[in-house]
Amino acid sequence: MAFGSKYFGWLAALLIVLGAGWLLLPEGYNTLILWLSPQLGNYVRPTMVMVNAILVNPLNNYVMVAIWAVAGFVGGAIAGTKKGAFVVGLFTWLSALLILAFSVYQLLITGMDLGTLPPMPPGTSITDLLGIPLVQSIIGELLGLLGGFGGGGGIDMLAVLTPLLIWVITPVVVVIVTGMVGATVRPKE
Amino acid sequence: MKKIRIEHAFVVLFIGFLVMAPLTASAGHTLAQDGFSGEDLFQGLITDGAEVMYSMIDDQGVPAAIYGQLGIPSSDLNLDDPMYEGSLAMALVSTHGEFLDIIMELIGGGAFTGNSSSTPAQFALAQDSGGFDPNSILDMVGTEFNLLANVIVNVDEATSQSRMASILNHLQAQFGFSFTELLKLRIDENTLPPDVNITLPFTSMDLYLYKENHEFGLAVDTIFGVMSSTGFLGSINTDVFKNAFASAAGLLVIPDMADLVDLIESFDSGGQGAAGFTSTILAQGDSSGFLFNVTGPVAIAAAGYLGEQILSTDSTSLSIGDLFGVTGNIEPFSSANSLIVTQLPSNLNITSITPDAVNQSFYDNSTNMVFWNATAFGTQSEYVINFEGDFPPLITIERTFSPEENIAGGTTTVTVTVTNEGSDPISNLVITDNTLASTYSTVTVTGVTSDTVTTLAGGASVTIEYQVTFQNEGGYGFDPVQISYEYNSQTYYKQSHTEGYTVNPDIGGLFAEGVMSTMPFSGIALGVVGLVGIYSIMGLVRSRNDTFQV
Repeated sequence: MAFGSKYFGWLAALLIVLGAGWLLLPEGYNTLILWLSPQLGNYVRPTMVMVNAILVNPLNNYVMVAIWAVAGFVGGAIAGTKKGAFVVGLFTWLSALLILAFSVYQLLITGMDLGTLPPMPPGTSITDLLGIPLVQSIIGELLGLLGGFGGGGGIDMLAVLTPLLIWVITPVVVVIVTGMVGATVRPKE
Repeated sequence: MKKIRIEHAFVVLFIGFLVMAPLTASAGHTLAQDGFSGEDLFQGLITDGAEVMYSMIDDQGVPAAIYGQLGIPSSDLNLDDPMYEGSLAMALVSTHGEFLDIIMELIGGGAFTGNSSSTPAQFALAQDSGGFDPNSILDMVGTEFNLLANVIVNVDEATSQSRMASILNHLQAQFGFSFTELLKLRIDENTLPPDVNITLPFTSMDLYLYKENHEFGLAVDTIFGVMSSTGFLGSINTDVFKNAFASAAGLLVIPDMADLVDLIESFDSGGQGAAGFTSTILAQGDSSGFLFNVTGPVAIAAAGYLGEQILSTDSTSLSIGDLFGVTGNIEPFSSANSLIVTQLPSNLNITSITPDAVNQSFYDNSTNMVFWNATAFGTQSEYVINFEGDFPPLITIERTFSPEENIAGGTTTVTVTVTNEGSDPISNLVITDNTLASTYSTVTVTGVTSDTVTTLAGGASVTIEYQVTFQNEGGYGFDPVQISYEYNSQTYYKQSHTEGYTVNPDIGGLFAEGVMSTMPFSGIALGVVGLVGIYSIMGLVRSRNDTFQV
């Protein structure tokens, strides 16, 4: 069984996504984490890092798109074949999903205290949260839906789900495509 | 119950800023007209321009100060440029520290909670026996805001966005502002369901909201950069605003006052607004409103702060320049109106002011207000108020943390020191710093969080110390330390400031905790990954072609 190149490609890509995602987390997320962690526990940060990594609006979260692209390119280059790059990209994305699920689970079972919502930390404000790409995207979509109500119709579920689907699919598409580019640039000998 | 002292100062401060003009008109030659008219005066301030140094000292010698310019936009704003067409009003607000806290207490504390003996709970919910605490809003929204808002009406969407982009580009290029978009909201006939049958007083309205990215200090400088740099501003050290524990700065730009007034009038005429009030103030059509003939661009910029106690037992004079960090001469506008207004506490007896001239300055000991028409005085080295009075000794409250930052699971030692910096003793000193555990249920507090001291001599200090263990990472806010004491048979209340404490994540501990809490699954997963890694490395060592190639 020969999968060493894919293994190292997957490991490198996943570490890039996790490491860069952690270090380059948008400022708004940091405010959210500082705000909620005292009551919701230490897994707020890993959860936010993974939410930011998995739900990516390509129109405003350029940093995360770039991180996935770099991860895919490196993983693909290590894998060395297009097929291998596809597998590396897919497994990197699935691993990220698994880590998100793990973080949410940990968040729920460890020390969460929903009794009180703590005050915003000194030096911050809720406008920091409005700077989070995902929050901006959601607001944009909600305003769009609000306009839709003007026509007198009900909620268009397709209009609600389509952007969410795009945000979820964006990382896996980016990581696989850039992985194949990486494999093309540096093919296995 | 939390005592409000400085907050009262701010009530007077803001009201004072609004009523300053008419009062000053009665004292100064520049503004005083034959037959005083508030409308004429306000129009004169807008059209000629004005600047104000307003300050207030409370009965414990704590200053509040505000500097503002009215109606003197820099030509660099290019308010005549077509990009402003359709813009009704553009506002930039920057707040820092406990400023909003104080404002919220000021406008709502007793009224909303019903806790004040002097103010009935007129805004408390009928079904809410405890009332609503407006400070809880700030707990939710925070205190640091750098926001730009602009409203553009009756312009198609593409043109509106193009003009907004031009305005942003101009502000960034000309003044160094930096913006991040937060919200774009368009309201037009398509926004409202047809069955609600509401007729909008405009064809369309676009609301733009941006975050100004600078920290507060730079935001203050850029805000003042929009205004005229001559007058008082040339000698003011803006650090006094930046370094205060509670401060704010703001800019309001109205490209054409007539457009704004027309829109407000249309609300009234549509029968949907609070007809009467706005019309009384702003009506133009029948020439009866307060601003009936004010047209063209208007700009207002101001910054204010709440300071630390500066007057104590031995104080006999107050230098206005010190409140604004003035180091050289104070030079007023030559063509516009420059005013200095100070409100002193009622327990003082003002003995003299410098400079002093008939019809150019004013003070009395019934209102304890002091006015200078600085334009008439020209360049002055100082504005001084001499008085007789009795302030309490200077009492300082210091809170330190050791270590100053921590990681989740760590413990910090908090030391609170109250010092009587004066020479006279104070009595029945009560120190309280015990709100953290009730705010955050996950922290553990041990040690002394409150204390009572019978007498604290001049120059002496008293210290309390406690330890806080933080289970979780986060940004923790320590509420102000509260003290009360007696001096000359009068009880005084004082508090320190809200302080933040950052607890960083413990990455290693987090990983270990996650693995241990999900055993055996996490162990199996890590084992598989590790074994495959070892297998792959062995293959690499053996130089197999199908393994990692470098």
